[in-house]
Amino acid sequence: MIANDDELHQAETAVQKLWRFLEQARQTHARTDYERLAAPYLLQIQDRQQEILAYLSTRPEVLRA
Amino acid sequence: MIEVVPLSKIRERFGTSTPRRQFLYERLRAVVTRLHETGQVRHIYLFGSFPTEAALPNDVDLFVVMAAGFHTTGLPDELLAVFVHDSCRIRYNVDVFWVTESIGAEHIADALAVFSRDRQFRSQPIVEVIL
Repeated sequence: MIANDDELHQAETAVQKLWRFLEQARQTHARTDYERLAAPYLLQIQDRQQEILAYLSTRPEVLRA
Repeated sequence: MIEVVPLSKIRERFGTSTPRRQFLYERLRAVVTRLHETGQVRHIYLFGSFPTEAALPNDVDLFVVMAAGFHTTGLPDELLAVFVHDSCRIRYNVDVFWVTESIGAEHIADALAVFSRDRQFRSQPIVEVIL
């Protein structure tokens, strides 16, 4: 769970890296191979994006309470 | 700096202290053996809770880099299962994040950077597994 803005930025950076990784893998792997390799990275992106959205959906004073 | 560790040493360091670790080590060994049966493994990186002090790691996480010309098409079922996420999780309790070298060194380094932090953003070890 993201606890502060610094962790938010770390999470955003991780998502961007995984996103770019998949963009490149999509270009450099055959279709069947890409579809097989992508699943765990997509799950990682989904989990991390949900944590980001959860953090951004609350005001700072609520998180500190 | 990523430490390179033979599989036998992985067992000594991380695969004996609890029944859970013994169970997961055997799954790891099976997956590493399958990966090498392809003849096209370049690097196998172990990360997550298994190469830590955690007594009860949930599973085993691997980041696997295959040779640039590697394809999964035509692999026998027992080898293909390692490269299909759901099958590998169900059969081995191992999460395999794989890619081929064709993606490029920059993106492989990016993935390693992501996997070097746990979900609480703490630094976590990555070790390269060799036979």
